[in-house]
Amino acid sequence: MDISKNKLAELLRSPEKMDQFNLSDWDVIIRQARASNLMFKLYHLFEQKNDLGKVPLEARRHLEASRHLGANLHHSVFLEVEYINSALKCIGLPVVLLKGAAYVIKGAEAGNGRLFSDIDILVEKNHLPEAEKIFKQHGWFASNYDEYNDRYYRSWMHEIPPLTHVKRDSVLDVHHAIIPPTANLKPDTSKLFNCIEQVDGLENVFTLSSIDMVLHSAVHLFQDGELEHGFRDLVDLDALAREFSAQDSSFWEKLVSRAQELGLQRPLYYAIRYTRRFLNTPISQLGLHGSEEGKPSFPKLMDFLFERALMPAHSTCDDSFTALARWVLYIRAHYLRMPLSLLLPHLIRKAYMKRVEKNKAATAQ
Amino acid sequence: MTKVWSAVSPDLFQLKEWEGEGVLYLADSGDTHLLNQVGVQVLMILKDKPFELSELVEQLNQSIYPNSERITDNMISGVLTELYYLGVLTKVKS
Amino acid sequence: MNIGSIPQIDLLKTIQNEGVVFQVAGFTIKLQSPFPEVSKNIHKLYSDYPLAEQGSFIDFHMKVAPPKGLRRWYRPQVEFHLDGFRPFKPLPQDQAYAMFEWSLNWCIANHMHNYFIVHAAVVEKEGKCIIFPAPPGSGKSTLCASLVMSGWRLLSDELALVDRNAENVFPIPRPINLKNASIDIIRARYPGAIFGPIIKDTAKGTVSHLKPPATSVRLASQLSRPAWVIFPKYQAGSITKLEKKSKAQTFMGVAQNAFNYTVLGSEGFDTLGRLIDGCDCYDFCYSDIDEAIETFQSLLDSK
Repeated sequence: MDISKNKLAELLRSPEKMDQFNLSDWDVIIRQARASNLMFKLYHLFEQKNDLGKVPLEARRHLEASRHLGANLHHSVFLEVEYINSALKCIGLPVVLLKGAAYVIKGAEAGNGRLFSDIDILVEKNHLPEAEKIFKQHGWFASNYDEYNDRYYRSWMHEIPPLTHVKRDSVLDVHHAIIPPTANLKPDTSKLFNCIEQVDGLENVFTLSSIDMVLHSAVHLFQDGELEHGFRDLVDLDALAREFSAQDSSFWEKLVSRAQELGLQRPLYYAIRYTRRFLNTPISQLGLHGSEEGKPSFPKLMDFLFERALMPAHSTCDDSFTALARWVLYIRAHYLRMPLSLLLPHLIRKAYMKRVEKNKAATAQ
Repeated sequence: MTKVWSAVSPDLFQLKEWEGEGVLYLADSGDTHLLNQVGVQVLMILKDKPFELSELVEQLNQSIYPNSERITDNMISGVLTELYYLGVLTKVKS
Repeated sequence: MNIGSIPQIDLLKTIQNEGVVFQVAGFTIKLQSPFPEVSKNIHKLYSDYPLAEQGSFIDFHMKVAPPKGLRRWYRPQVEFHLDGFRPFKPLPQDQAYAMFEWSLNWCIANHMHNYFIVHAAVVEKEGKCIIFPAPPGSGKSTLCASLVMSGWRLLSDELALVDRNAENVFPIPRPINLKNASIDIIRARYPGAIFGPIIKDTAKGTVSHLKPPATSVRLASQLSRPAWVIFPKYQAGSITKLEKKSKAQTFMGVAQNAFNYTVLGSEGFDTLGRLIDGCDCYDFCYSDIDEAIETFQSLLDSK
């Protein structure tokens, strides 16, 4: 795969090259950023370095427009977390944020310029029924309830069907593990809970520990199979690794040993391999060696698949195998979590549901 | 024991007024509400200084509507409750 | 060089292959579509729009194409693509040209948050413009078309792009989307008017697009100062009535018709507040177009 097609990655790897880009390069960068939901991230990176002025006006206005979307979202995240907190507080449970909302609330660099549509939280499985009940009382309901879907989530997924708030329309994803319970990898959720860290200044609000945050990000990207935002997730991993390794000199050592403890060597291997490959993420020798343990049996094949699937989902990044690679990884993700006898009927149904959903999309006016 | 009404921090809302009527922007929720003349006046007065209901009504009658029909406590307590539920007023017992 | 200067057959080939890149006021767009119906109408209605220079930055790479799959022959459909997004459900293929127009509205309204964007028609004379915010069915496009055909400059039939200080409206003149009875009304009033195809059974009923005057297109870079916000309402048989509307209520009405008031948060509140500060606000009820045109002329004369 010719990863140089990924102009956006080139810019993220070497921002100093921006001076050499012509308008046609910017045209591609803006489109790739739009397709991978990284427009606001790009805005943030330039703004942070005071480099926005160097971006040609034609491209810059698209970045600046994304600032409004982002600012509005980040403002509402804090408020939404407050609402979630006031619900969970009633039953004495902590709010444990995951993914985008966690990065933003923690003030991590990965949160800057990060766009997302749902808030993800982690609740211990034995507390799920009471949590669901209290969320209902506070106005969160399962959206588009459908029995098959509900059963599917509850049998095969590590989260319950998404909840939507009746008044604010905000979407809440309640997880009880970071990976489906039937998957071959089985990290112990209680071990994650043992290491949660409180967010400064927000009582009862927590995130995973820095190390677990990285591992969760890796698990999510390399096991879930939904790779449309794969490149965005890779950018998250890069930002998390850069920030945390700079703060803690034994970061890589801890990361490798925690991956061993939780049985997450494989996703860690992929995370290190592909952040390095696409984004030049600096990895210590210890990190490189330590992660080798998770090397898959067919590394060349996995390279072939992931190097395509992790590109921005945009025609300028595709080759003739991209669609196939994404499809294979999608099937693989389901295969990792479901017995084969159930996999085929499920995928057929899912394909059908996707069509139905598509028909529900907005009508052009 | 009486209740003293006051406006929340000015960071939490913006009020814009034209010919008496106004629009109120709530920073937290991002919602905007239309306020009638009395609503605008009540909020403007409480923005500057907290008041008890009876003082507030007196203030409205004297300075704002010297010539019109007398405003009563009942009329204003409804407005106060509404503004309270919008989140722009607090009530403190003293 | 304008679109009209390319022979129609060449434009068809360009749009079917690499796509045509042209300038719609402040935006550069690229359009690709295999449908001859689309290029035919681009040639007809966008003939006065300049082609973009080679190597230009393109704001929106638009593709209006049939969906993948077997529907190519059975009730053929059309789909809109932007950078891999397909925001709308497919429409019947005879709506392809309308799909392009609606999709371009969507591109601007959903991405260009640098502007405060109101669903409104905007027309101008003597440097001052009227913003007609309105939900569908208010007769906004009929009014807009009539004013534009009688000497007002078209800034937009759909999107008022207001700058952050509310000092200027940015023109984005494009074909005016007329619906149902208003198509015949405008055709009868202005026999020289040029229309795109009559497209039946859309979500809005029967629609057709009216070509904007060449002058409006040529002056697309000339900004205009907002002077009036007027809510139009067509009501069969009603007398012509222009009534002052309170500023606070106008504020709420514009906010409801804005695409990105919520996205802009407190900045949106400030911008809209300034817009209302600087404008006279009215409700306008009409059924007679001549009287309507007269009303706005005297409104302009009195300012």
